Amino acid sequence: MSREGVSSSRQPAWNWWLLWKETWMLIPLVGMIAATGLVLMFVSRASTEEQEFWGSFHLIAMAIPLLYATGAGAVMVGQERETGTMEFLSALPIAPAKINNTKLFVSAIGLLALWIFVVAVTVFFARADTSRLAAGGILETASSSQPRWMLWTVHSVYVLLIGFYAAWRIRNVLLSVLATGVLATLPIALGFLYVPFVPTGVHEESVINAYTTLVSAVACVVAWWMMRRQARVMLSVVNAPAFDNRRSQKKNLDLGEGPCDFGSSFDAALWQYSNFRWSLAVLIASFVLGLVVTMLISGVSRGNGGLFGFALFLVCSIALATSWLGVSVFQHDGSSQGLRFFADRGFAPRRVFFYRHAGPATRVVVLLLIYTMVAVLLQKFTEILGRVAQGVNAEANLPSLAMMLILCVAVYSISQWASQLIKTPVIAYLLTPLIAFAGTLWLFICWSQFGVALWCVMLSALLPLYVSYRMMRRFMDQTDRVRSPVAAIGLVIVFVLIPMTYALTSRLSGWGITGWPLRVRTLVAIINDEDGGMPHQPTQLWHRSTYRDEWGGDFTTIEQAIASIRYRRQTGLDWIVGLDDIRESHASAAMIDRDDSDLYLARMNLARIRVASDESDAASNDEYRAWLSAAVDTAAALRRSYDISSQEEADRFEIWIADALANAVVDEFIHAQEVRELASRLPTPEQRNAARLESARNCLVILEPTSETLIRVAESLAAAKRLTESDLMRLHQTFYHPMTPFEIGVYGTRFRDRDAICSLADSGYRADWYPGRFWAMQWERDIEALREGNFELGDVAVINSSTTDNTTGEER
Amino acid sequence: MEPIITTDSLTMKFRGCEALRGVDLQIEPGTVFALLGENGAGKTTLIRILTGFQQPTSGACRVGGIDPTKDPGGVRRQIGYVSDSPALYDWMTVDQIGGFTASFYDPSFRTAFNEMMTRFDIPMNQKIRNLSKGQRAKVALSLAIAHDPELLILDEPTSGLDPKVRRNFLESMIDRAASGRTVFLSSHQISEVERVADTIAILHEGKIVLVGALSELRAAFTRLTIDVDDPLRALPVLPEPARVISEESAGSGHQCIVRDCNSDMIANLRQSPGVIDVSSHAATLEEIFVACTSSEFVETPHVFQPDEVRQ
Repeated sequence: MSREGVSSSRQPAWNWWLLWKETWMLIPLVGMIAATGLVLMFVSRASTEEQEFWGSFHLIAMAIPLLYATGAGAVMVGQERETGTMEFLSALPIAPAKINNTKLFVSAIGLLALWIFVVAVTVFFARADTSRLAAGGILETASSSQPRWMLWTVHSVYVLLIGFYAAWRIRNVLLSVLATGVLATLPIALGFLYVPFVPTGVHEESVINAYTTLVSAVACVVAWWMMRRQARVMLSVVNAPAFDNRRSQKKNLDLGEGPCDFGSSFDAALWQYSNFRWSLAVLIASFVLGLVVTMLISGVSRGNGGLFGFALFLVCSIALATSWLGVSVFQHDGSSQGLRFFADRGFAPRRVFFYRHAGPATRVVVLLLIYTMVAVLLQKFTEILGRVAQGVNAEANLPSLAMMLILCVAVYSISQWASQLIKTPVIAYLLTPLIAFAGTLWLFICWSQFGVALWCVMLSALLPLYVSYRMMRRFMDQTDRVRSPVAAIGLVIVFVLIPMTYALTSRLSGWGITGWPLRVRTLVAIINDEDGGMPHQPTQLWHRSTYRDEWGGDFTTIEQAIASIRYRRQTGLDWIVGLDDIRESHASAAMIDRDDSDLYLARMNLARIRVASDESDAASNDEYRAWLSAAVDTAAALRRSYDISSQEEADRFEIWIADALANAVVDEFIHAQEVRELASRLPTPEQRNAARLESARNCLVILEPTSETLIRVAESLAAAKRLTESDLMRLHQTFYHPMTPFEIGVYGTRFRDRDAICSLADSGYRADWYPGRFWAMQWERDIEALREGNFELGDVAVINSSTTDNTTGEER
Repeated sequence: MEPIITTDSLTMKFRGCEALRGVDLQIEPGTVFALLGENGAGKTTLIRILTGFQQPTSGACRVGGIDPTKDPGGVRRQIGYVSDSPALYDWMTVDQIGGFTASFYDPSFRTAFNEMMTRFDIPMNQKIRNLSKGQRAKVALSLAIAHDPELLILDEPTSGLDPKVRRNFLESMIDRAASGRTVFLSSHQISEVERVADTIAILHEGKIVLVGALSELRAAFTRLTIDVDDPLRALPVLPEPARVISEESAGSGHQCIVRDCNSDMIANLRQSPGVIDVSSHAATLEEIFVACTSSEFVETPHVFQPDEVRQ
């Protein structure tokens, strides 16, 4: 037989056409994941504080390559097997190993490209801050500002390999993606299981990181072997299956039973969707992934897990499962054929809309029922636990059923709509949950921060469902979707505008500004700094050292440890950049990063300790005086900032100053006149409350997270009105936790009855950011007392303890 | 000459059914071989085994002297294959899929492919997803034959092709056979098969029930129309070696497909008591196919053995 037609004799090591083909197959996945990640990063950057941003940034950054690795096998192998092109490919004169190796090679390049992309984006956001590129591990990924490069790089390679294995092993591409998701969690789960065995006296996180990295590396080797073996099996001759005579007989008997009878077309539509194996896979994958996400976010090894972790796990899992169910409306196995079936038989599109949603919606309801049952059981469990172990924090903090219903509706609605925009089912299943969570988060922010009414939030959440309902004819006829991108952009704009319009209208109405033209002009005036609108950009105070001392950060080199020690030993004011600027102009405002603020307060405490240890040391006294003066100037400048977080920082500085000045009088190393002079440089209560109100209102323009509640509270204080318990309760529900009892929250009586300096000191001066938590407390009256020279008895707090509360009007 | 395809007692059992039951075949090179069978008869399973995609449960086969179960790549290098539902990369253009496939063959592939596309009037810059069903079939076919393989295996090759292209395609199959190449095709289009095939095999419920040269089959099978005086009268038994393959009755008229029936037998039949008239015609391939794939034929003890045809 002639073999002239085949170029086997001259086949090169690389077939460029094959490489080209594989690359083109992968580009949509790489592009869409990178684009979605980038958008989420920018949204995150625009909507959060820098410190909070880095937490979410690292989650997104790590998710980009991991998502890609999860989907690469399904796109490269699963999709080809499902569409039948794998048969076309294997019918060509090409060795099976070459097919697999080329696919894997191109996928690995894609993974490398995404890692480079992630590093480049990190460098872009971090600017010169190279510490953002440091190595790390798996614990506290969300809360830590350190990315975990080494571990996640190795882990992503493992996910890529196991994804290929699953794609070769499981023919159904969606099931293979779900299986990959579950298998991907194995090294992480093993890492967490090792936590109890970490010896005491060693740095737990470093050990766990090293261990998990090692497990991932070993898993890479195992996955590589399994993948190659499975590829060889699938690309070579398929073995004959074992013949089951009993099954054959059963099948013959089944054939004799005749067709199934359905009571109605609705029953038939429900049956068309039903697939027990798929539903079970979705449920298992959701719960496993939810568990791992919970572990990563709550950092179970640090004792933050427990019931809170369980609640988070439950919410994450149900949200993920709901999102996938939403995707299945248009991307389920045979969905397009199903729609076509109804279209060919003249079914009304709106009827088909309900048919298509009946199956997934039923499953979402079942999930909510499961959630209700678990919540009830958990409630009983916590009651028992509370009785058995006194003092145990048994609060599960499970969201209410109503909250879960809103969450599920929003996630489902966005998912079902977003999925139809993505042509490839694998990519739809990977990316849609991200889009749905981002959309739901936006709605949550609108409700909690911008004060948008719940009915308006629900309206926005249902909007994607309504659009699908209107566009059902297009889906059924499978006409070209030229107008779909336009509709998509339109929906996104409306989705963003509805709550924003509500917030804008209600807020400007609250300011007494009515009529649209006037509102627009007011906004423009604020933005352009006209007519006493938004103040100038505040001066950023920051530390001069390039070494960033992260809370609980890792030292990977001895040089870093030495740098840390040197950095901690710094004294003096030289390292505070921007201090001179704010001193030059008494009208200038200041901003400070949270880390820098912590360090600032720590330096001041250090100076204070030195004075306390040796009062006769003139140098220490001078240094402490300089710190006090700087703190007063800083607090005053922070207070002048339009930024709400600067107001909170100003509160912390003023609390510290009030305590320090009072004690300075007691210790008599500062003259009383000097104390009065320093206190007089601090803002008056009227100035302080006016600044708080202004910054709360300005949040609308700069999109800082705040709420109507905060503005209302600030307005009360600015009008010298009494701060009621209902005001504090609203702050508690908005900013602290709606499920936690008010009494134990930071806005509760227990906290507010304490000296603010004690609360600050308890947390190492790193109090969590809860807007308005220190407002109208005793320290404000202490400052007034110091300003008036009322410090004969030394202890300001004691002097004022019996005076009438001039801010809240309450007797203390 | 050594057969290009040989199968020896091939059986294939899936979990729920037996797809092939002892298939024996020998296909000579330079012929157009047609495999006929109903839906689910096992045609595609047999082709998948021959092309090295599927391992049989038992039995052996060789394609071009190579065992496809042991060296599927070796087989695929020598053949051109178009499956019953050819899947192509939708996102590629015709030019790109030609270039991609050509990269595995000699440079002549590209030239031949481009010529075929020109002949079929398919624009090279058109995306596969935008082609009609017939155009896609033409592209798939061209990709399978552009490297001029010794053996071309086609599973339902003409479905989706318009009559004009179908005719051209069938003629090209005859040309291929004439040039010493072999064509193995499975089809439902009996009239087309009848036009081009040299050898026919009928697969029924996993068994080859009939195989032979088309001219021999035509000569061997006769359609008899027998009118009798009484509808209840039993038909006379034909002497050996004649065998009734199928029989249909409508009132006093009977129609039989008979193998190895000569003119003497028909003359004797006319003389039989109660027989009013007997007419005979050469059976068409369609009539032979229907007769061979009727359940009565399978269950009858007088199964028409392939070996008998070869004799």
